[in-house]
Amino acid sequence: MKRTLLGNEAIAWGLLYAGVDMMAAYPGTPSSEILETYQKIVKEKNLPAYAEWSTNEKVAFETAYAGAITGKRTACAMKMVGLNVASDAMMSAAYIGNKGGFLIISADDPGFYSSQTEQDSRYFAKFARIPALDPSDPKDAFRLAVLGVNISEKFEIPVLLRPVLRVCHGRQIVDIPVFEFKGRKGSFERNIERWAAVPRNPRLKQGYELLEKLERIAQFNWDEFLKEQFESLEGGELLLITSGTLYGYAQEVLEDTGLKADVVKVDMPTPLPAEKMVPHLRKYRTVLVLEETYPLIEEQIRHAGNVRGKLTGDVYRIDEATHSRVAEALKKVGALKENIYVGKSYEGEVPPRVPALCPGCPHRTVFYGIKRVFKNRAIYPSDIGCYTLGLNQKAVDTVLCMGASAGLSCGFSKADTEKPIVATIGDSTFLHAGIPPLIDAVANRHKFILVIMDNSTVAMTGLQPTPERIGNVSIPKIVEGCGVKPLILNYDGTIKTTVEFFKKVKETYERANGPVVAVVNEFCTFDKEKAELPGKFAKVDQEKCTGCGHCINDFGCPAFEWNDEGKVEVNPYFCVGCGVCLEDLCPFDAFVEDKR
Amino acid sequence: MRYQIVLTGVGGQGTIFLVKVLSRCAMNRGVDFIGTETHGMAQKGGTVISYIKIGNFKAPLVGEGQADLLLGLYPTETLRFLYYLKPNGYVVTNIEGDFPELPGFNIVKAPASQLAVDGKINPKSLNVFMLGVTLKTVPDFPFTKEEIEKAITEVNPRFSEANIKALEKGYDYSSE
Repeated sequence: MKRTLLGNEAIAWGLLYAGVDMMAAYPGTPSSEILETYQKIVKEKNLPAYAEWSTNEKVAFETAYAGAITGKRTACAMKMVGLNVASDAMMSAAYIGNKGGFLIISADDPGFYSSQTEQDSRYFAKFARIPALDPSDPKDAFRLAVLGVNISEKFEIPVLLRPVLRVCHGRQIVDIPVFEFKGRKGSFERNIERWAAVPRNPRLKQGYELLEKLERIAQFNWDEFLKEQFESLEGGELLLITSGTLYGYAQEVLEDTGLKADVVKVDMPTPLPAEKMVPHLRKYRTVLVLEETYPLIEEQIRHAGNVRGKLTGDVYRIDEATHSRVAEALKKVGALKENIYVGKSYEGEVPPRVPALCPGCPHRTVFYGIKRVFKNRAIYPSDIGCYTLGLNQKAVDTVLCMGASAGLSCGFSKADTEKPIVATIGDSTFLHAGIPPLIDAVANRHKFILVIMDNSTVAMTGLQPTPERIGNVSIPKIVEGCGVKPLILNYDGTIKTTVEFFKKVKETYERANGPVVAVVNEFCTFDKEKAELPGKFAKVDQEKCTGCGHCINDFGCPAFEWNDEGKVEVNPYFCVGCGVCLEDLCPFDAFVEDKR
Repeated sequence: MRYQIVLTGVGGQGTIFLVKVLSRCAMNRGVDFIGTETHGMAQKGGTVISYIKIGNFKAPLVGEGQADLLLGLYPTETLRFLYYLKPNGYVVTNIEGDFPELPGFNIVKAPASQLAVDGKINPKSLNVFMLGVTLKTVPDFPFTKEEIEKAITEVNPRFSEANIKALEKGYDYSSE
């Protein structure tokens, strides 16, 4: 049946088509819709399959991998920085392998749209010595998800599927053939030598087997994906070796410009049968490699001598693929005279629209309360989530990776003993990677405040449920179990209560000789179950507003705008009626209720 | 058919819904398409841009200077992404107060934010209202009003009545 699908939806369909009956994931843009869709289809069609949101990517990997050890077909999904967390398990699983097909889906984010790094997961596959598949569009993502599961089972090795943002969040018509879904009964069969292989000899043996597998997979890559393409090449001026979305861009740029060149699509960039490719590459004057994000294929074939790409400075080296960047590369190798992808920009000034916490978001009030009490003197380590945007209120000083608010605070507390430290972390991030550094802080008496901003949802990635919501896991009890009795605030939508609370936190901190933990029970404004917006809309009394800028600089609701008179106005289209700004924000009481 | 559309706005306005509707229209017509959407970091109020290319296209983004239509749900974002439009391409945009002249393009303006605040249109259907304006004013727009209505119903049956009403309002607004 033909459907209009997001790439992530197509991947979920691919998994089910391939008989994957067990899946685990941790949310992260651009990967989150894979498990959401898988779960939705399983529920709608009442399929015998299991899906879960795990506490972090390593747990998701291990949960799914265990299924594959028992002979089930399984998958795990994450964004690429999540693969860093799961990599410990992945490196070892590569040696041990699996019985049922096991697909690792790691969604890359070229262009840093919602990630701290632009790392290329295909390199992780090469590093772990497992195959990687690089889909070019949603249709292709369906195809390669199915193939990935099959290849994994055929060679008993985990396979990495690496869709990029524009594949995950690309949309296309995908034809899903009718299929009968059958799960498998998992059965763990004791094989201590395999599943519990220890150093040195059992692991060394697996290492040799892995190398041998890789050679067979490179041959498979040639036979299944490349041979036919390469053997039809006649040679000439220009050959484009493409992978992922660049396959689409290359074809469109050739079509738009009328340029003639041969194009090869690489489905499996590693392991690559480079020596089989080289003689064909040498039939061309120039070979241009187009791939996202790092030069993985280029590195493997550059010894052919006529290969150009990122390493030769001809292809862009950072940020995402665009028509213009492909055209520029073709210009550099002398194939195109001009770049036709030039638009006419607006010549006037467009005010920048920086990412900001949503209007009505409780995080904003909490950051405002923290800043009112701790001022500019404190160090404010923060973490990965919506609340990173507390940086607009200068209440976030560091962003490193999941859980690092607490980890860095451990170090800051010993390295800079002059300043108070107020760290902020969300509930899902705390459960993902914040607990070990809190334990470290208790054990080693690191003195800092950890504010857990708890909205009991993964808000940033689209409101996935957290362990608190689905399993009654209690963050205060975890904190207490680590050895700290937390202070608790039930957010009530007023600045007054929030400031009072942080005054109390400060007093506790001054007496403490280890970590102080504050748990603030909040809500996400998009969370239909929990959001409390009283419908008190705001406007500004223009007589009272002095244009001091306190509300915009220190609170920064996106509904606040400067007008031509240098005063503040509330844009009624953006105001959600949280009512927070109506009291204790403006030093001149200029915010008044806008009765609608 | 080959028609490239860039949709912009701020988070929460529903550009993705419009992409879903337009892609459904393409499928119903039996025409290929490819597109890509903003999900994730676009909180309410953040910049959102989506692309849909109807016809035999292969790459997800629209090339700069190639779009036939820029449908802007928020005025600043329309101006920010003007460079995607081809010469003489169409801009259909929501405006708040003054909006600059844009020589070299065809511009259609509607004060949709104000209509939403005044309760004349449902704020949640501002996206579909602007699609209604587009249908009426853009001569080479690839789909008919009937096709759009059908797709709206298929994509979200629960709110189809409210959305179709908003579509009508947009369609009639421009003819006033």
